[in-house]
Amino acid sequence: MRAHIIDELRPVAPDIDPGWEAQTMREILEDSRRGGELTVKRRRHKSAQFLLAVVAVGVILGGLVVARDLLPGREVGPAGPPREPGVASTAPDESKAQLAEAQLLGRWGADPATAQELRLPWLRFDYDGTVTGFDSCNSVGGAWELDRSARTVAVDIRGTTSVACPDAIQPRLDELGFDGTALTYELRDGTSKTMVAADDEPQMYLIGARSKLLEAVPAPVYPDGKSTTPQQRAVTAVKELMKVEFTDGAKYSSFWGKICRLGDEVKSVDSLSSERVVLVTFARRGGELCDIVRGGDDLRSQQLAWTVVTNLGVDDTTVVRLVGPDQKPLADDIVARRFALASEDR
Amino acid sequence: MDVRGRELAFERVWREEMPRIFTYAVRHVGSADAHDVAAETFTIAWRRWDDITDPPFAWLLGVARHVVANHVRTLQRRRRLQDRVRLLTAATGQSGPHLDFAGRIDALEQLAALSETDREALLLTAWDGLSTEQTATLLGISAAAVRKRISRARAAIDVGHAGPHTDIDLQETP
Repeated sequence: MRAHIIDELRPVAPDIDPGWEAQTMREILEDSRRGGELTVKRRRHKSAQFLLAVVAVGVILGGLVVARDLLPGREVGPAGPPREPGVASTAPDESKAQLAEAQLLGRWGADPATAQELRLPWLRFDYDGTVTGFDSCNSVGGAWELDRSARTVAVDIRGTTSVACPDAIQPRLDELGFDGTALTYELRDGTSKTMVAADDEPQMYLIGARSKLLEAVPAPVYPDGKSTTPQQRAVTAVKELMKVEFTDGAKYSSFWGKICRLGDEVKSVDSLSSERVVLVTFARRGGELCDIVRGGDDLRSQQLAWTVVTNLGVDDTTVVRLVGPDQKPLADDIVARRFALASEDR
Repeated sequence: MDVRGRELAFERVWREEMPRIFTYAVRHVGSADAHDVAAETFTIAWRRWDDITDPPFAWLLGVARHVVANHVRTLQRRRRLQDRVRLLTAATGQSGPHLDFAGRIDALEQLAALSETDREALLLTAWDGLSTEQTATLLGISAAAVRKRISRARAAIDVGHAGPHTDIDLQETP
């Protein structure tokens, strides 16, 4: 019996430069021993610099935003030299706990719904390097950077509303410490205060530049008091997920975005417990022009599956079904797979 | 396992599996970028060493598949048919030396014209050596679905491949 021609065409392993092999293997192991970033040198230089253009600090609580500076281009990438001398260039304070970036992302401090009334600050650190919040008197927006020692966060406030406030209660939010559980800051009178992380934020799954797999990231939404139920959080998270664009070189990216998202609006996310199916209903169709290689398509589906099951708090074996306004399926059913996650944690 | 033991195990897996991962990468991104894909795959493997399976190849292939997807051209438009033919032709340059040129190109064109899903199922088994079950796990579909895709792919190539093999097969009937 003849072998099928495709079997006969099975590729022969090519000759691989032994010098490249030895060097690459050594670099992987050595970088790991140093405990640093694994930055295996590529055979050819790729200009994968972590440059993002201008970060629009457009946040803002309905108030007049006064841009204190013209917004300059901002480098988003591994913690680099501090932008402002004296902010993050101090020697690491070994007494402070280290803060992982994944820990930092999300909202810290007061509940935005009552913060203004209580004159308490809150800040939200987003995956794209921007920060938004309330300093107990004014709404603020800017950029954040975790310092090299991962013990302090430098906050570069670039926009704020301009409500006059008594100086005494003004917190200094340009440099925050971490005490192991809370972010610490000082009032102008020298009093030390803390703010703790919120744990009820919608989470979405983006693709980490280092891991190449899915990482949970708080959705960059202004807390409007509407995302209080799991269904509402899921809707919010899916909406935000659809907006994230693919950016080569960015710390976090997504395979959805303008071309690939399924419509502009997510109508509902409903858990049909009897069938162990979650129905994600989009108000409009979309994604017809989306054309991604197969593996990318899988990751894109997994982004959505994990975003849905995590926010709903349902079993990760639940089937996620995407339907259009006419209730017709927009894609094959999806089931979240742990293989797609950078970490086993959810 | 101590650190040195892990490093030795990593080196062994590198020696045994890297050429196959490299070969997989060549057919997806070309030989120049295959170095990057292989390096990134093993970098991720070393970070996630505790997760790696034994035998490791199917697991590594799963990682490589994601790396390919995330690679430089990730979100560019899927390659044109001609580009896929070119990649497949380059990847199979040393194989099937007895096959005539026209038959080889004909088969590769048929292969390139298959749907992405059918081609992947076929090549993961026929070229990468995964079992149907391993392929099903990797693709997140059932083994029956994998068999269906493979069967459909082979049939499509057979139908389209009206070259000398078809004639020879008919003549070889006893």
